[in-house]
Amino acid sequence: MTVVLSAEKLSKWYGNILGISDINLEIGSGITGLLGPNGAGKSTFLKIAAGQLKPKIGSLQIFGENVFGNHMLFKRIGFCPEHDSAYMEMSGWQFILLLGRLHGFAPGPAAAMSEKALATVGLLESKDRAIKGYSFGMRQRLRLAASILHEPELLMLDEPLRGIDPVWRIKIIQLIKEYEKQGRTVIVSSHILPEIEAMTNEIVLIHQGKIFAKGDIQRIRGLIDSHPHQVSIHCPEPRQLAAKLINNEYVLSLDFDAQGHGLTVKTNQRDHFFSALMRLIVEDKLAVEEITSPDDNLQAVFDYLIGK
Amino acid sequence: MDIREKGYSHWEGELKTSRYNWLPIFFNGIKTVFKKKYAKLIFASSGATFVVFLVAVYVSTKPELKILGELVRLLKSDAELFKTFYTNGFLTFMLVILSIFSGADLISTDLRFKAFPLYFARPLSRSDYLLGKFSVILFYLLLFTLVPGILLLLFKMIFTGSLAVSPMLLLAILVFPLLECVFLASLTLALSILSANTKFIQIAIFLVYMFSNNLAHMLKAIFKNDYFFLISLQGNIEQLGSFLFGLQPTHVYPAWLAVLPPVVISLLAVWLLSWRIKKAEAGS
Repeated sequence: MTVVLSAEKLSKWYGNILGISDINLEIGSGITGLLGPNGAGKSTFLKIAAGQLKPKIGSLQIFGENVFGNHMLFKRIGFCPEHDSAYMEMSGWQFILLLGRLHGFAPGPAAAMSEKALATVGLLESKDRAIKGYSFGMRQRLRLAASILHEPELLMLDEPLRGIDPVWRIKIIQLIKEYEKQGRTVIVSSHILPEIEAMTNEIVLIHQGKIFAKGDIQRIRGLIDSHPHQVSIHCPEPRQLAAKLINNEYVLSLDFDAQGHGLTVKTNQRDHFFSALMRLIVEDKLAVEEITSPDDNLQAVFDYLIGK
Repeated sequence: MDIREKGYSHWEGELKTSRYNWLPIFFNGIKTVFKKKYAKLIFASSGATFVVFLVAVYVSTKPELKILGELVRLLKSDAELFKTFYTNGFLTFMLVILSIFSGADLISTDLRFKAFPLYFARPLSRSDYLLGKFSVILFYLLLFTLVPGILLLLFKMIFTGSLAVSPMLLLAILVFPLLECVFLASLTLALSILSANTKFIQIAIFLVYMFSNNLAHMLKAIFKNDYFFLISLQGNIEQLGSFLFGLQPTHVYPAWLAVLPPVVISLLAVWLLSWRIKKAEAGS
């Protein structure tokens, strides 16, 4: 893995309040979702990564360089903060142009890049309006435009879809995926599970300032031994299927649904169980209409990890 | 597992630093101040002193003209002329108004709009940020002190038809407004960082101007000691002018001491600003 961001023993607290604690993490290229409930430490982590906060303990490096105080590194990093930080009296155009100039671009290129960024987030037509007249969603898109303006190699987005309407939600997800295709790295935080699922399978679960898990959602799920996988099978003869499955060593328990059209199997060896199930279906010609894994999603993984 | 690795492009370029990263903040600040309501009125009022002194210089070369006689008599020497121009009460008052107008909101607005991340998530250092903000106030203050001072000297040369000027006077004409403006700009920026409420900052700057002088007069009256004028913004500017232009001190204490308050306040302001920005940046 090409390490883009690496954190070592990273801790940050505000007085008596813990922000993050002893985080050791490596993030590679592609899209990584930073997932956790409100107050979990996502924003603190991203602010440290964006050089906005200084860690109390530990270090954080991006592209092999320390972040805090390394201002030139921000030419390669784009950060979209969670909260508004814009001059409300300025027009969208003046604001983005100023940021382009602050990145060190000459007036001409800064104007061209500003126009491109505003067009990307659909604000070109409203560029001359004062920011204070923008809706919440428009201001959020403006923040996004500000973070992609200089076409950074690493883009960090803190709750980028907050307050965005459904149409632009889809477009922004596409934009993030497009960034990945271009070989860039995107770290996106959210407490909304489907948002992260729509963008990536590579997640970092953060809770109470600590990293709970990191990696592919399915792989993380596979590692949670304390909660057996649930497999729901919808079929016309659930009892016949249950009779065949009951002798399987990987099956821990069986439950029939109330309507009598299916059963839910608990297994601690999901892959082996599926192989056995497929064999049964083929060899014994059992009719099966649908197979689903109700707890093989991010919500279930998250709930299990935080102990709900 | 990490199948995306092959798509990642490594950065192999060189990150270059620039000494002029603060310039966009400067240009943006200049434009913002110029577009403010009442800007032209304040600029015109600040330039009024120059016009009066220009007429006085012209009249002093034409004895047949009888206007501004008192002022012309007062400006018996070049040093007196420029010292009076730079330190007269109206210009000092207008410089304070200009500081309030151009600088009171420079950092307080950033505090109000939580705009520090806008700057520090970009290739800008703390000193770039402060230099950019500082240069905005300095520009407008110098525009109504140093620039008219030089113009006044040039016009005097034209009116008298003589290019003769003492090097010490020339140095004083250039150094005095620089010191005065750096002092006022530092004070304004240091106060600007105290609150997100610009109105509060504006009042605070004006109170420093008003009360430092009144307090100095009160203390002088009580203790019969001129050293108290060291705490007066206006009194100190006058004393500094006397020192640099080689004139009789306005107040009874060594004139060179007048250099200390501006230097100390400017250094304190730089320290306070750096500390505050560092605090905001570090989030501690």
